[in-house]
Formats: sequence, C-alpha cells, structure tokens
Amino acid sequence: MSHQTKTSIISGVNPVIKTLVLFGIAFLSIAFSFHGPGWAVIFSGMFILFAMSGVTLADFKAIFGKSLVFLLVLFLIQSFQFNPLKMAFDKGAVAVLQALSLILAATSYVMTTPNSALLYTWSQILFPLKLFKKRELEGLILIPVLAIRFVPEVFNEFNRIRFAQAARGISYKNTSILAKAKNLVSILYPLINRSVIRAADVAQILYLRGFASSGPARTFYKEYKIGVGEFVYTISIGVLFFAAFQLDSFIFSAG
Amino acid sequence: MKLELKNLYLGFGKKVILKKLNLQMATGKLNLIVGKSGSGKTTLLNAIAGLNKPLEGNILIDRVKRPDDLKFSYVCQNPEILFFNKTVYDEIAYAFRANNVPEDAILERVKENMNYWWLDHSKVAQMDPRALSGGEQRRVALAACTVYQPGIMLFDEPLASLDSYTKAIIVECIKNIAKMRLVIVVTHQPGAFLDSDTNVVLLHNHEALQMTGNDFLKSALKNNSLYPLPEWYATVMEPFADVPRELPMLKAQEVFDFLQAIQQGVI
Repeated sequence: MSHQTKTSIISGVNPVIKTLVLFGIAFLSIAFSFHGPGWAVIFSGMFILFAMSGVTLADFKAIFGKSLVFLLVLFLIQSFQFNPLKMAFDKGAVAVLQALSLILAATSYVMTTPNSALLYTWSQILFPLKLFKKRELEGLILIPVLAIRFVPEVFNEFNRIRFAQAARGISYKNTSILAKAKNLVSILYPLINRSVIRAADVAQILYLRGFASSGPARTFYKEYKIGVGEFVYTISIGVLFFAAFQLDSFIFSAG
Repeated sequence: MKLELKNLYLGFGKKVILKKLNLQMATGKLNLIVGKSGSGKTTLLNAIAGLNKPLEGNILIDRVKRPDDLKFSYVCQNPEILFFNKTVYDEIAYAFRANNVPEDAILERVKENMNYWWLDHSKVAQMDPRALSGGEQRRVALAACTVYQPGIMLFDEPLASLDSYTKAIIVECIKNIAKMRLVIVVTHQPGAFLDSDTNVVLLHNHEALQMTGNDFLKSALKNNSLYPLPEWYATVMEPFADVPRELPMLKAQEVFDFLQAIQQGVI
C-alpha cells in the first residue's frame, strides 16, 4: 500500500500526540490480557477510529488480506506453545487480536499523517538528543521517516523493474534456482541503485529546505499545537481501554 | 498481427479509469496512445502488457484471447534505470545469455541491434552504460529492451527528457520497427511521431477515440479540450480545421508548404 494521506478529522490532530497514543495503544494491548468483552470494546473503538481516519471498507479489506498470512502464522506459533487445545486456541486468538489492534492503529496513524508531520514528530520526540550532537539527531530522525516513505515505494519499484526486465527476455520462472538467483541481480541492482539515488535526492531536498546542521533551522508549513482536539483524542483512547478493562473485570469477576 | 480490445474496462478496485474501449491496432502502422496527464495512457499500455488485469472485457491477439505467456517488449518510462551490467555489450546481450543462446549468435545480434539504434559498436560496446550521455543511454536501453524482437513492442514515453537530435533518431527507428511489428507508443509528444495515416488512440473523459493522424489534428484544432496542440500550430492552422483535405503534420516545413500552396491557389 502506498503512503497516501487521507484527509479526515484525525489528520488534524497533532502528530506528536498521535504517535504517543499509538505507543500507548501498543503498550496497553500487549500489557493487559483482555478477554472477549474487552476486545469487543477495543475493536468497536478501533473501527470508529478507522472511520474517523477516512479509511474505507475496501482499504480495511486490503489491509486485512495482506496481514492474513502473518496473523495465521502468529496464531500457530502462539498456540503451539500451550496445552490443552482450548488454552492453545485462546492464547493464539489473543495474540492475533493484539496484532490486529496494532495493525489497525498503525494504519490509522500512517494514513492520516503526512511525511512532513512524521518528520516534525520524530524531531520533537528525539528532542533530548539535540543536547548532544545535532548531526546524529538528523540521521536518527531521517531513518524512520525515510523508512516509512520508501518501503512502499521500493515494493512498487521492485514489481515495475521485474516486469520490465522480464519483457527484455530475462526469465524468472521455469529456470533453475541458480539461474533465478543470477537473474535476481537484474532486479536488485537497478532497485538499489535507484533507491540510493532517490534517497540522495530526498536528502538534498530536505537540506535545501533547511533541514541542516548549520544555517537556518528547518521550517514547517504547519504549526502544530496541543488543543481541545488532542485532549479529546487522547482521552477517548484512554476511556476506550478503561472501559474494555472494566467490562472484562466486571463480567469475569461476576462469572 | 492484430490486437483488438473488446468492450474493455480498466481501473483499480472500484475506480474506473477507462471504459467501453473498442479498439483495433495492427502491424504496419504506428499506433499512438495520446491524452492528457492522468487520462489512463500508461494504464492502457500496462493492460495490453498484462501488468494490469482488466475490470471487464477482452484483449484479443489475432482473434484469440491474449495468452498469459505473450512475448512482447516493454520499454518503460526512463528505461535507463534497468541497467545492471558493466558494459553496454553485456547489457544488451544479457537476455540472450540468460536463455543460453550461443555466444557467436549473440555477437551478431547485439552488433546488428546496436547499429539499428545508431550506436557505434566499436566505440561504446565496452563502455559502462551509466557513463554514456543521456541520449546514448536511452538508445542503449532501447536496444537492450527490443533486442529479442518479439511481434509486439510497447513504448512508454520513449522521447521523455531527450534532445531533438536523439528524438529524431529514435522516432525514425520506432517508425521502421512499426512496418514489421505491432508497435504501440504512449507519448506526450505526438507531433514527433505523427503521420497522416498513423493510428491515433486519443484518451479523453475515460473513453477512447480512434482516428487517423489527420483526423486527430482536425479534431484537436476544433476542440482544444480534446488535446492541446502546440500553440504555433493551432494559431496558424485553426482556420483550416474544416478543409476537406489532409492537414500538414506538426512540422514547420510542412505547414509552410501548405500555406504557400494556399497562397498560390494550388489548394
């Protein structure tokens, strides 16, 4: 999936808050072992977050489809560790639900946060590093931003190059493993070459826009503030997990 | 060889980019796909190449449904990115070597193809393809992509970012290929390829209009929103959009001759 930012209510939320909330969701999903009712509350909330992020049902289907193999493998790995069967199934299902909630939250985050906002977020979160060496800080900030920016593009580029090389008469099918490995160079070399050139271009553009260790500081077109929206967003997620936890405790302690 | 698109719908997911395409393209004439940016030119080319699955409809080759293992050449935009060998010779020869063609036969074919694309074998064969000029790189890439010489050759923006000298060479080479093979070119520069009998597929408003080069010029002169012709041509030729004869192509000399003929009362 390419990184195309959706315009929605969530898009306007301060990206630093969104990032911190994402980490919060990751922590809460993994730290607490919710049961059925708790997960029902969390997923209801997640789907509302999804809808507010502008993600359509088709997007959800695509994300779910792409994650299906991963979730299945996760289920099998988790359930193999436990006995009897019921416990194994429960553990596997919980692991899948945890992963799925993270995938949904991360998708909502990526789809509503443009690259410039990601850059801003990481520069704010890694702010303490400014006390040390600024050049290292730039490198550290650029790593996650470039990764998020480039990974989908590299996949698209891989397919494009593979197709174009195949049309030149280079076969990737019906050949020996050795020949396949050799022919893979015809994809990897242009792919790496092109990625390095693109990365250098982006780095140069960022430098020209003031993202440098010397000279004027990087400017952002949008000034991010923490206002009512950010409080509502953070508290809503907090309330969601609190409600899930309470409902779980209530039902299971009553039972 | 004949390519037919029957009631073809193209798009992504639920988004339809091109609809109800009923087109025919054949060997012997150059087939141009033109249209504004975002009109679906590359999408159509990719569908013919088999890269995009049609939402609906059929692609027929010689009246038979397009086989999955159809042999064709596909020259993508900026094909220089595909270089991965140390020398120009190795770059062009790679596909033959990968298919175990004897080295003697490869040498002949590579030399022949390099000459065809105006590349001096004795000078550039042992050079690093990335060290050549932009125009030479493009010609090496075209030679490498077309060296197999299948029946169908697809070109996506082959003239992008080139000087006029290299453009003229490439246009001539592609036109010559079109005499013997089914050649489809996606371009933003139809003027460079256009002849009166060129088969033009104009993509407009999610649909395709198929016409000759001459009809394309007349339609574009009458309706600028269909395709914006160069301003100099549109200004000079607009009064003649309805004349019942062939218009000059997008070349200054042809337009000059046309106007002179009118002044002298020949037309």
